Amino acid sequence: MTTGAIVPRSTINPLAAAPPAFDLGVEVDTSGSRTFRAAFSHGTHVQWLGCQSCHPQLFPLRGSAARPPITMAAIARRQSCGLCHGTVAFGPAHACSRCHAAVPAKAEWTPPEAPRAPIETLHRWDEAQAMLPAGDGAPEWTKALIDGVILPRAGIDSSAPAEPVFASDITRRPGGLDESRVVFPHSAHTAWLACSSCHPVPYPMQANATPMSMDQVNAGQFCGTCHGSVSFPLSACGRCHPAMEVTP
Amino acid sequence: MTRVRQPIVVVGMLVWNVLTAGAWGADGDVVFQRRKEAEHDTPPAVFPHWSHRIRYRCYVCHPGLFKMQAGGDAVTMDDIMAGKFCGACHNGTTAWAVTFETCQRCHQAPP
Repeated sequence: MTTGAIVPRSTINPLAAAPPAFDLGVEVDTSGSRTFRAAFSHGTHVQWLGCQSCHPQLFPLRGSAARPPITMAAIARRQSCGLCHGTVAFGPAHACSRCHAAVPAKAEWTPPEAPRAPIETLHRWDEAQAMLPAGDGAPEWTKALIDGVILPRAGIDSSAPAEPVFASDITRRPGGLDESRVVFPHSAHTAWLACSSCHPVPYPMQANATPMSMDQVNAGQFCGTCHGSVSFPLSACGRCHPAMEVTP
Repeated sequence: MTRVRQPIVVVGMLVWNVLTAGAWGADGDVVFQRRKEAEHDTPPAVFPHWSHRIRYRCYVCHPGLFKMQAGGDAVTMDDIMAGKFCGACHNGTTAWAVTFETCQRCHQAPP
């Protein structure tokens, strides 16, 4: 209609005046989400429809007691907007941003820099895993970092300088037993993590000041926040407890 | 209109050991679950930790954007569009943006 390809009459009587334009825009925010609120233009609809086509039966006017929520599920059931949209007007599939205008339709993006390492070109975990060194049944992430298999950036601004590596080992002797001795190397951790990642939560800044147990670690607290999921598994006892090193 | 908040919450790190293909399957994948099930069938978002850590050191996101503990943050699409959480990078500049073409990169039902 906007190109003039069709000029449909607004009444049966060709001499009757066309109904006036009504340019009220309405935002539909049934979901409560700013992102997915829908912009409804009365202007384009009154070119096709009269007020009574939709009001009050399909869409009760503001102030009415019963105003059923306008949801995508209702539209898919051919209710609400779906009475026309999906049949005689454009359907909801592949036309999201025609109503939900806060989200762009197309993804136009040029990466700000070339991949730093070949692994960054991969999209599948099985292919990436094949490039990573492995040990103890898991990827050896720190070895991957040292060997340059991965070259992770130090900031969202990729030119950000890396946080300084802090080379201090902390040794604990749980229960006073040398057999249980655990050595924590700050150096391997500060290659990945900033001080604020671990201090003061869950570890206060004072060495050996945090009571903790292997039960808690196994339950995903303290070291177990990372080890066992994104860092080497807790079954590799000897990597933290030198006296428990199993020699093959 | 009645406003109903529908935040999504990281409920835990799930290990999709059974998966052998696709972007997911690594230790540390995070499956987001909705606090309140919406009346639509968009699958929950899945975050592939591996594809982010090969590009960025942990401290780029933790704890500034996301708490260290999985499950520590409630994330909404409104937050992301406002540049918080994922939106700190997924804005069409640093990384691909939130668009109707990219929904399924995160909201993809685990096989």
